[in-house]
Formats: sequence, C-alpha cells, structure tokens
Amino acid sequence: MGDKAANFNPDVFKKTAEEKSNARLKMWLEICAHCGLCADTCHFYLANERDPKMMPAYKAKKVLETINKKNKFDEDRLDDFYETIYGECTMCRRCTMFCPFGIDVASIISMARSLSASQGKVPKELLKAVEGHLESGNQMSITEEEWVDTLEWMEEELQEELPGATIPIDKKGADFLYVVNAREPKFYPMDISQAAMVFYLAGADWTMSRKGWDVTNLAMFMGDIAGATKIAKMVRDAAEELEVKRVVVTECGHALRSLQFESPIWLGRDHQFEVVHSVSLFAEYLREGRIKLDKSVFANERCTYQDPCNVSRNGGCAQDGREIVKYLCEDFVEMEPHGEYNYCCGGGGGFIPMAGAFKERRLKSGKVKAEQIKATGATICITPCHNCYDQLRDLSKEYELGIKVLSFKEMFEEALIIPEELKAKEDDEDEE
Amino acid sequence: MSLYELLRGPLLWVAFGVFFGGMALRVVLFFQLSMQKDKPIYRFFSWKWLWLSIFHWVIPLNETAKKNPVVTLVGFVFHICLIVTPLFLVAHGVLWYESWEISWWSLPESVTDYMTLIAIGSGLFFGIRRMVSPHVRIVTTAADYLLLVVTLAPFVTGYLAYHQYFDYQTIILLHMFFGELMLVVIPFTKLSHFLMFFFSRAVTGMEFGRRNAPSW
Amino acid sequence: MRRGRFLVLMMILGIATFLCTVNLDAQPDDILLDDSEVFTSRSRPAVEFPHLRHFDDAGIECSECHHRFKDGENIVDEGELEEGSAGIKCSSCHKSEAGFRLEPDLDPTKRTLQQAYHRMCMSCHRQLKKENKTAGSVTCGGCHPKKKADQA
Repeated sequence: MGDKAANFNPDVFKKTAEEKSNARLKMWLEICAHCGLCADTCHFYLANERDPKMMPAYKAKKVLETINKKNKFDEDRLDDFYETIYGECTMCRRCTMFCPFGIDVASIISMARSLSASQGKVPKELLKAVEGHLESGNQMSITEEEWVDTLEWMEEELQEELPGATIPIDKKGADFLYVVNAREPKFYPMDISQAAMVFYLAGADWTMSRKGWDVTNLAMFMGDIAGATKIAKMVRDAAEELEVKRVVVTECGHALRSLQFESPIWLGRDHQFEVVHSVSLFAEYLREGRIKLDKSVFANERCTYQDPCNVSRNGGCAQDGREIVKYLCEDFVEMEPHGEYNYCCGGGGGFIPMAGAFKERRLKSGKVKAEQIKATGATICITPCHNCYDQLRDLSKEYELGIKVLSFKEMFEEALIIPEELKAKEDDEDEE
Repeated sequence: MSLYELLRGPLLWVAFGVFFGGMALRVVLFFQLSMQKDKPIYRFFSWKWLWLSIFHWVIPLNETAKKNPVVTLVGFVFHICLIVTPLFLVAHGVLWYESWEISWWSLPESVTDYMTLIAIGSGLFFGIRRMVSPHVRIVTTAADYLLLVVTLAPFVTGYLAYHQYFDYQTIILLHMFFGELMLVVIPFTKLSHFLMFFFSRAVTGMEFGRRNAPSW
Repeated sequence: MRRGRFLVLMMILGIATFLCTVNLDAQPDDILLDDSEVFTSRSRPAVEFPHLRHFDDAGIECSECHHRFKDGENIVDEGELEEGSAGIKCSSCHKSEAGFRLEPDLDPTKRTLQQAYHRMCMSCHRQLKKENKTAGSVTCGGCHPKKKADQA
C-alpha cells in the first residue's frame, strides 16, 4: 500500500471499473463534445499558465482511455493516471456548473480514484488517516479518554469567562449534536470552546458525543466508498442513538458534503436527523437575534469571504455565509466570482493532508485564489472550512497576501456581545 | 433497382430504423443501468430542478454563455440551423407529402438557403477552433473531425444540389447518402447528445438542486 | 366520275388536315406550367412539361391525368379536353388552398396546386422507376432545372 503500486492486477482493475461504471458516467464519457468550454473554469488550468493538459475534459478523457484500455494498462500508466487524478483535481465541481451538458468531472475523478485504490495506489497520508479513522473512530487517532479530557478542559476554560457555559456530553434528546473535525481537539481546541460559547449565548439545547464525533471523511476523497460508508455510519449512529433532531457540522466543507449529501446514498436511507452546517446555524441565530455581534470590532478591517466549494457550491450555504458577514463586517468586498461560482482555493479533494510534490501543486494551483483575494484588498479572509483555512494561510505566505485567515468562530469570540449578567463574577452561580 | 430507389427506399428505412431504434435502445439501457447503479437519480428526483437545469441551457441563460458570448452565439446558431433546416425545408416537405401525405410548415427556400450556409460556416468555425485552440485541440480525437464532416456533408451536398452545381444527379444521391449516414452514426457517437443532453442536464440539475445550488 | 373522286379525296384530306390542326391545338408538345396566378412567389423555375411525350411515347390515357371527380369517380370525358375548355388546366381547380369545387355537385379538391403537380408527376415516375421502366425525373432538380430556366 501507499504511493507505489506493488503489482498491477488487471482483473481487479477490470472488475472495479465494471462495478463503478454507472449510467451517468457512461453517458458522460460518451457525449462529451470536447468543446473545451471547461478549460478556464478550472483553477489548475488557470494557475498552470493555461496548460491544456490541466483542463477538466482532458482529465476525464484520460480516465476514459484508461477504462477502455483496461487490459493493456500497466504500472507506468497507473503512475501517470495517479498524478492526474490526485494532483490535478480537487473535485470541486466548478467545471460542472459551466459544462453545457453538466458533466460531473468530479465523479469521474472519484471513480478513477476508486480504480487507483483497487491497485493499492493512494496517497499514504490519506490512507493512514482513513485506517486510523476506521480503527479509532477519528482520523487523528485520539482516544476516547483524550477526547473527553479535551472537552472538559475546554469547558473549564470557557467557564472562566462564562461561568454558566457547559459542554454537554451524550445528552440524549438534545436539539442538536455538534460534530467536529479531529484537528480541532488535536491542534485547535479553542474551536470547540468558541462553538460552545456561541451555543451557550444562543441558549441552545445541544450536546457532543463520546463516539462518532469526528465528522471528517477522507475515505470519500480516496474513492473508498466502503470506508467512507463506515466512517459516516459512526456519526449517524451516534446522532440517532442520542435521538437529536439535528446534527450541526463544524466549519468544515467536505464534512458537510459527506454527511449531508453523500452518506445518505452510501448508507441507503435518509438520516433520522437534519444536517446543518455551522454557517447556517450561526445565520439563524443572528437572524433571530439569539446572538449579537459588535460590528465595530472589525471596523478597521476589510473582509472578504472564501466560499468553500463543499459549503457553497456543493452544500447550498452560500447565502448563509453572506448573511453572517452583514452582522460582522463594516467593509466587506466580494471576490469575483463568488458564491456557488467561486474558484476552489486548491486545498480541497484531500490535498491538505497530502504531502510531498502534492504540496507544491497545491500552492501553485492556489494562485487563482491568491489573485482573487489580492484584488479585493481585504485584510481578513473569512472561511468556514478547515481545508480552505490551511490553504489560505499557506497562500498568504506564498503569495505575500498579508491577510488574516479567520473562521467565523474566531471572529465571534472577539465580536460577540456578552450580556453583563452572564459574565464571570466574584461568586459563581449554579446552572442546570 | 436504381441507386436513387435504393437510397430513397430500403436504405432510408435502415437509417430511420437504426436512428430511432438505436436512440430508443440508448434510453432503455440508460434506465436499465441507472435503476441498478444510479439510485440517487430516482431518490432525489425533482421535476423542478430537471426543468430548471434544461431551461437554463436550452436558452443561453447561464454563466458559460456570459463568459463565452462568441462560442455561445455560434453554437446556438449552428444547432438551430442544424435542426430547423432539414425539418422545415420545402423540398423535404414535398418528400414527406409524397411518401405519407403528411405536410407541415416550411420555410421559404431563400431562408433555408442562408441557413444552410450558416450551418456550414458555423461548423467550419468549430472545426477551425478545434485546430487552433490548444485546449480544444488536446481533447480532440479523429472522431471529432470525422463527425463534423458527417454532420456538415448533408448540408454541403444539399446546398450544391439546391443550386444544381456540378452534376446534379450525382450530388443529390450523395446528399441522400450523407443524410442517412448521419442518422446512422448518431446513436453510436457523441452526436447522441441531441437527446442525452436532456438526460445529462436533468441528473446534474437534480444533483445540484438537492444542494440548493444552481447548475448554470 | 374522276372529278367526283378527286373531290371526295380533297374533302377527306381537308377534313384530315382540319382534324390534324385541331388535334395539334388541343395537344401541344410542351407546356410551361407557369401558373403565375397561384405561384406568386416562386423559388424554383417553372416546369416545362413535355405533354406530347406523355401520351405519344408513354401511351398514357388522357383520363389517367385529367380528372374531375364526382362521388369519387373520374367523370372526365376525353372529348371535352380541348385547349381553353373549362377545367382543363390543373390550376382551374387546384389553387393555393385545397377545397375548391369546380361545380357544386363535384368533389372538392384535396390538394393544393403544388401538391397536385408533385403527386401527379412523381407518384407515376417513381412507380415506373421501381419497375425499372423509362421514367421521368424523381428529383427536384430533374423537373426544375436551374440552368435551363436561367437560359430561357
């Protein structure tokens, strides 16, 4: 396993190709008119000096040729194939919006990744995370003890400022279960306390779970549907066991896509709960006046909003993000294009965890995003996605953008108006 | 049997048979396979998103049209001339009437004459674009050129026949032959997009639609 | 007696000549199917119809083409087919719209003039072609030749 294919197995390859060829893929590979209109919709194409080999239809054609020549396919060709499907596409589905036929190149690439995986050829960082996720229940292999400790620690931190605030664990029948990205407990535990603060101020009835709390799903990016299904099931089972009405997904893009839109397909039935992204919940709170923000905090900053592909284009939350911004920023400038039409930052499709040569390509493909941000003149770039967040930070360094990259939660921590009576006093008061 | 009778009779029936039968088979196979392997289409089926998706592309009401006005304009003109000219040509109308006594509207011959030229001209535009645009050239296969030739051949020969340039009797036979050839290849090539376009737009429209996002 | 015979011969010749002249008048060789009162805007040249060849060479009976229907039956009498006689031209009944009645008790027309011509000529030409017999043209340009019309 890992980067190199040990042996090419044509039988397995053929079988996988057969299995994965659904009616849509077949139709798309047949009807693509090779019109070339997808070329400049792709950030890889634009960032690589309009290299025609970077255009979506070319990548799709490569996959088609591979399937058609499945018997003559060998290790060398597999290497070339692998570079294309992992190194030249983030499966952001922007090209699909611009294709007159609506051909979903992302699903063609996803199928190709399944083919590659059938030969054991997947980026080792992704594989390691997925194996860890399947074994431990989260992609960072955090033990349950560590997890609960982290939550308790964050609760204590939070209570220093807001004595009444809690981080409930396994509260059955709560309004919603909050699920996070495993990097939060591992590297950014403050993300959890910030979320808890928002929920507390909004008076939410919420809980976290001991199990199935990591909503990320890197198996989806490997075309490993069996693995992705198991991972999604962990979250689903936790939510259904706790009998919550909703599952709120942290500020993470692919997690929303996988839980809300892909996993009901993998798991064969609808969830017994609603899936909501943080931006939608935050927008709801602001709209209803359940939390209030002090706009003056960022009055001296110019903000822009990076639409994560899997939140806006593939998650349908483009307007929610913009609604929050109205309560938060005095000086807001949109990138062009934006919303559902936004360019991928280059960090999607599993790119962030992938190291080595993939990192160089990721930074190069981010040129389009860097230029978009530069054109806004923004000092703050807000993004509700962990992958975008990392990529934008890297891009800020690489292209000297001089921007602060912030999630909504980070901005809320500074801008939330906390009623005096809730703030810490000399004597602590008890809450339920 | 004369060549004319062969092309007007049995071969025309073969062409119609392959065309209609082939496309019907394409549709049947799509449904058959999709019911097994593309369950999301049926689970998240939505007439609303299906029509919205088709509508925004059947008329140029999408971002691609805004971004590529020239290709969009030439593309629409090309497709309109391609479909409208043969269906509403006076001479074809006479043949429909002769064969089955069915008649419908027809366009003046001076109009269809220009439309033929426009179809040829815009087809050539796409052929040249294929050759000179690096990003189009790289995805171009021999089949793309061949299919363009097959598509334009009935129009070129039709134009020559109408004006009776060269040897009329030969040209008219070639015209019939190329028309039938085009019908025959449609179900087996990308030309099938004339119908599959609607299927593709529908499934993608619904897939974006269930995420409340537009696909245009 | 001789004189009487001569006179008879002359009379026969005279009648024959008369009949011949009448015959030629009634059955011209070529007819230009112009019909400019129906075909007001025309994109193809008018057909030059070789009338004579149709019965001389092809041996087609007059009433195979000339018709007037009453209760579905062709009641045309060959004797009445003379140039200028009412209803001899196709365009007497076949106009730009179908449904015309020449006389109140006759059947209305089913075809427009263009349909009538095409039907009348092409169905027969095709049938003969199918039987591998000498036939007139079946293609558009065969009857509406551009160059010939341009020269004329």
